[in-house]
Amino acid sequence: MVDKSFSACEFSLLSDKVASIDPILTKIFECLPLRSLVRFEAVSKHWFSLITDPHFSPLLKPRYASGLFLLPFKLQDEPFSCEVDFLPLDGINSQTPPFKRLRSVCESTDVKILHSCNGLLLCSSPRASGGDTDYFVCNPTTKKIVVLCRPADGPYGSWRGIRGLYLAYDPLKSPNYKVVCVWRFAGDLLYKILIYSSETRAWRVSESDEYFYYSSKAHFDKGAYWNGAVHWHCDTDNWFVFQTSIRKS
Amino acid sequence: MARKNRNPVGKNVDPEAQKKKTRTLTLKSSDGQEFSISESAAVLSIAIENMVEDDCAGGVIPLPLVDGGTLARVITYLNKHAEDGASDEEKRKFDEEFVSGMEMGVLFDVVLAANYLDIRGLLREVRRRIADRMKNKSVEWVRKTFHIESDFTPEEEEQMKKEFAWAWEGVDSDVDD
Repeated sequence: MVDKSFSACEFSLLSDKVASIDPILTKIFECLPLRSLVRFEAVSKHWFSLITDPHFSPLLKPRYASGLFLLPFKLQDEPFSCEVDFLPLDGINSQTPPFKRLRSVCESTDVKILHSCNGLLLCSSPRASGGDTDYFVCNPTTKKIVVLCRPADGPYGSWRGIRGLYLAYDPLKSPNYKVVCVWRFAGDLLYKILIYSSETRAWRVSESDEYFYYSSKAHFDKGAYWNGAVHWHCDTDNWFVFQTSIRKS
Repeated sequence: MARKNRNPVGKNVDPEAQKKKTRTLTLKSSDGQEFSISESAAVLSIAIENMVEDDCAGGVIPLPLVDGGTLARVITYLNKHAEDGASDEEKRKFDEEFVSGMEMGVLFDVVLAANYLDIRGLLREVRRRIADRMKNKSVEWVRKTFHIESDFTPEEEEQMKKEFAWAWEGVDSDVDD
């Protein structure tokens, strides 16, 4: 039997074939990490259209988490070191973490991670002057940071009423994220929910309900985003759930 | 779709399954080489199974899109996966070793053959291997390997590189490993 040895011509013919059979290509794309996929958009216009196709884009296929960031436990007055540990979950090809210290992602010191959601981080850091706080959303992979504007005027013009800030982001449903803010009126148990949209880059007050009065203690500082809604646990063993209704784009 | 879930190594005493193990088929490659293979191994390819069921085989099954070298590789894979008593762990190890030494050209051959013959497991394995070889490579390496000519202008390419600078970091050298 003859062993396989390619002449240049045969090889070119075959790889041409692979490159032209879209179902094979897209399946190969699904095995590639996002970083490579985004780079390979530049290979040709055909590849660009396959990779970015809004209906079949391999960028939008569900993926296993490659790892977890662990934030070391700190006592309240201990200085925050911004150091994070990375726990790879894909044992075989354990990747090096995308970053080790938050400071390599954003310049400011004393950054706090408030919430994380499908690869995005919601952080806060005190402003150098004025004793005010900046809130920002950060993508550690792209190192892109968006500082959240303040909610427009009215009673919500300051950050002081914030009782909890949460990211609502599901890349499988929409490339845009939302930030859900539980806002409490001073000295009162009246709450309101504000929503920031990355699409409009503005805050709006949730229309779904009027002010709500919440006497039974809900832990609005410890919530979780899951399945299209932010969930908070209440002392009465109930759950307070806010549906973020992300529209499919 | 029950057909693709059929387990050829099942411990049943189905006389039909027994017959398949002893019955051999002949596969003929594009360059005229003939290979004998047990029917139970051959029908792991959905395309071959359909040909056998439609009885259009008539002794020799011609595979005009697969050359002899590639067909020999595919048959090695099919035989292993039809082997009596091969554990899943053994098959997994075999799969890994089977694709690990293949050059890109060979991987392209095998992926096309697996696609044509509809052998899902092999297709999955080879696709994964191709992706693994590509993932840390430069755009230029991919163009050269897949024989693609860029239809972006240098300015457009520069723009993409600038916009997604993070995706262009940590790329291996173009020397093939």
